[in-house]
Amino acid sequence: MQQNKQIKNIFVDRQVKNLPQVERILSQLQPLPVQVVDTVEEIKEDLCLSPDPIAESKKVLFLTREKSVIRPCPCTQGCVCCHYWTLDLNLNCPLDCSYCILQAYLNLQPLTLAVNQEDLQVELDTFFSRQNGEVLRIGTGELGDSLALDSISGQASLLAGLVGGRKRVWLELKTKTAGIDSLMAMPAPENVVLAWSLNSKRIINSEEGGSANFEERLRAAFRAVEQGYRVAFHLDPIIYYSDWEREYEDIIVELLKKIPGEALAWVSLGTLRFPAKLREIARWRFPQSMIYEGEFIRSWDGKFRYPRPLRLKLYEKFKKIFQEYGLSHKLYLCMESSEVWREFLGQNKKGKLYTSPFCWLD
Amino acid sequence: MELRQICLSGIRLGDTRFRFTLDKPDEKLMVSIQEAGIVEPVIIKAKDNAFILVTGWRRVEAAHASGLKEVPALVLPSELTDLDIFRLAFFESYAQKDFSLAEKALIINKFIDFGLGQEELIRKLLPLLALPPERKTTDLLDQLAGLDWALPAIHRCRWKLPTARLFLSFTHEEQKLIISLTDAFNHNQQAEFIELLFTLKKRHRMGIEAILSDREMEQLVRKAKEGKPQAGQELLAALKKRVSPLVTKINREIQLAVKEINLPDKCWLDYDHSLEQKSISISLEARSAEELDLALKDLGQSLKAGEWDFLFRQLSKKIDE
Ligand code: SF4
Repeated sequence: MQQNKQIKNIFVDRQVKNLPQVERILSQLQPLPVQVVDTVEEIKEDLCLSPDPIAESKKVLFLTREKSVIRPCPCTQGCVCCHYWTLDLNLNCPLDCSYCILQAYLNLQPLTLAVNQEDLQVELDTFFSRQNGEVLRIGTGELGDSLALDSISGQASLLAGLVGGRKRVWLELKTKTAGIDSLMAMPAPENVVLAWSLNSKRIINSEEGGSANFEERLRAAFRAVEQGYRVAFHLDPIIYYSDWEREYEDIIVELLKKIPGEALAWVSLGTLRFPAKLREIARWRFPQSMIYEGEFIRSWDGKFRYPRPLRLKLYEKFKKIFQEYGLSHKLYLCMESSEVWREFLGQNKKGKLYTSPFCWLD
Repeated sequence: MELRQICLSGIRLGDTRFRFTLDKPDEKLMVSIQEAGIVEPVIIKAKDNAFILVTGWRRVEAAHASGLKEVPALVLPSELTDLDIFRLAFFESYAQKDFSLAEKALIINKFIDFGLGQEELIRKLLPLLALPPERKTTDLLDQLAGLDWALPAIHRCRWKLPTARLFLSFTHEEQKLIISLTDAFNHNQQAEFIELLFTLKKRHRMGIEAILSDREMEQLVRKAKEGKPQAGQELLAALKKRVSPLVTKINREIQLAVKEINLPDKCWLDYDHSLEQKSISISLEARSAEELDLALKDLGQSLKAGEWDFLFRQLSKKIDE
C-alpha cells in the first residue's frame, strides 16, 4: 500500500516554498495541484466543509517549517514514564486506525511535513550536547506513522544519518507499513531501531485502515534484521475480544519464531485506552468497530481503560508467551499505572525498574 | 420598520417558520404582561392581509393567555427575504439568550431551509453557536431538528451534542422510549442512560426493547415512567451492572468481604471501586488522643480476627482465580 497515492492536494507554507527539499517533494508528486499558503488555518477552513474532515485531512499534504521538534513524550499523568523523547517532524498520518488518538487531538491538521532539515540538524546537535550520560530514547511516530510518508519525505534515512552512531542514544522509527526501502539502502546504524506496531490479524484487518498486513510487517522486520537493524515491536493497543487469546498467541509465536531474540530491542505492551472524545468521534467514523463497546473503567487520567484485573490478565498471557522464548525481560508496559507495573514485574523487582524499564540498554 | 398596534387575532401563530426558541412563557413574564402589557414591540412580517410572527413568541403567547387584544409590533419592510428576516430574528435573540442544543438545531435547520450556504453556516454560524465548525455538526443538527416531537424534551433536559449523536442512531421506536423516560433523569444521568443503552445495543446486537425486557428491567422502566422517586437512579444502576459485569462482580465480592470484617464503631473503610488501586483507606473518628488510642486498639483487635486477609485477597484477586 503506497500511502502517498491518496494525497489529492498539496499546500506549501510560503516560508519554505524555495527550499530545495520542497522542490524535490513536489517533483515526485506531479501533477497534483499545489497552492502556497500563509497559515495552516487556510487549509483547515476547507477541510471543515467535508462530510468527514478527518478522512479528508489525510489526503492533503502541507509542507512547512517547524521551529522545534524535540519534546519529552507526553506521558499521561499517573503513568510510569519511560523517558522517551519525541521528534515531531510529521503531524497526522495517512493511515486510518479506528483507535487513533490523533482523531481527537489534531483538530483538522492536514498531513504535515516539517521540511526545514537544516534546523533539525542544529536542534539535534544542541539536544545531544546537553545529554548528561543517561540513555536516551527518541523517536518519530508519536503524531503520525514514522515511515508512511517516507518515500516522499526521505526523513527516515536523514534521521538515521543524523542520529546514527551517537553514543547512548536510541532512535526509534515506528510504523505499521512495510516501507523501509530508504533504510535498506544504507548500512544499519547500531542505535537505530525499526519498530512495528502489531496486533492480531483480525484487529489489523478491521481496525487499522491502510496499514500493511501482519505478514507484510513481519517480512519487513525480518528484512531489517537481515540488514543489521535492531527491531522493536509494540503490541498496542491490545484489544479484548472473544478470540483474543488464541489470535494474539498466533501472532506472537509467528513473530518470535521469525525474529531472533538478539535483534529484539524492546517490546511494549499496552491495552486499549481512550478519552471520551475519541470514542465519540470513532463511533461515528467507524460504525462497524466494536472496540469501544467493551467493559471499561474511567481511570486516573480520565481515559477509559479495561478494568485493572482484565489488563493484568492480558499482560500476563503475553508475558507467559515471551517467557517461553526467554524474552520476557524485553517487555515493558506503555502508559500503565505503577500498581499494574508492580504486579506485572512481580513483588521482588522494585526500584529503578519502575521509572526506567530499559535496564538492558544501559 | 413601521411601529403599529396589531390585533392579536391577526397573527397566524400556526406559521412557525421563523420560530426557533422553545421556552414557554413563565410566571414572571405572565405577571409583567398582566401588569404592564407588552412594552417592547414584537417583530412581524405582513403577508396576505395577515401577520407572521418573527420575534416575541413568548410575549405573544403570554398576551393571549392574559386576554390582551393588541400588541405593539414592528412590521418588517416587504422587500426583505425570509433569509434576511430569519437572520434578523436570530441576531435579535443572540445577545440575550443561551440557546439549547434543540434550539441550535432549529436555527441551523431554518437557515438551511432559507438558503444560507454551507460555508457561511459552518464558518460563521457554528462558532457563534459554540459548536464545532464542521459539516458533520450541521448534518447532525439538521437531522435532529427533523424530530420535532422530541425537541421540547431535548431542550428541557439540555442535551449536549454527543448525547444527541447517540440518540440519532436509535430507531424511531427506541427514540420514543428514551424520550418517554427523560423526566426520570437529570442531565448527566440522561447522557449516561443513552450511552449505556447504546453500548448494550451494539455489544449484544439487540434492540433496546429486548435489553429492557426482562422482569427487573421492565419493572424499573415502569417505575421510571410513573415518575417514582429514585426510579431513574435504579434503572441506571441496573444498566451499569450489565455494561460492567466484571467490575460489578468483583465489587460485590469485595463488599461481602468488607461485611465479614467486624469494623469497630466510628471506623470506616473505603476502597477504589474502579479497582485501579488494590489498597484500602480507613478513617477513624476521634476527638482526643485517648479516643484515638482506643479506636486504634479496637481496630487492632479486629485485625487479629483474620477477615482482613480475605479482603486483601479479594482486592488483589486475579480474574481466573
Ligand atoms: S498508524 Fe498510528 S498515527 Fe497512523 S492512524 Fe494508525 S494509530 Fe494513528
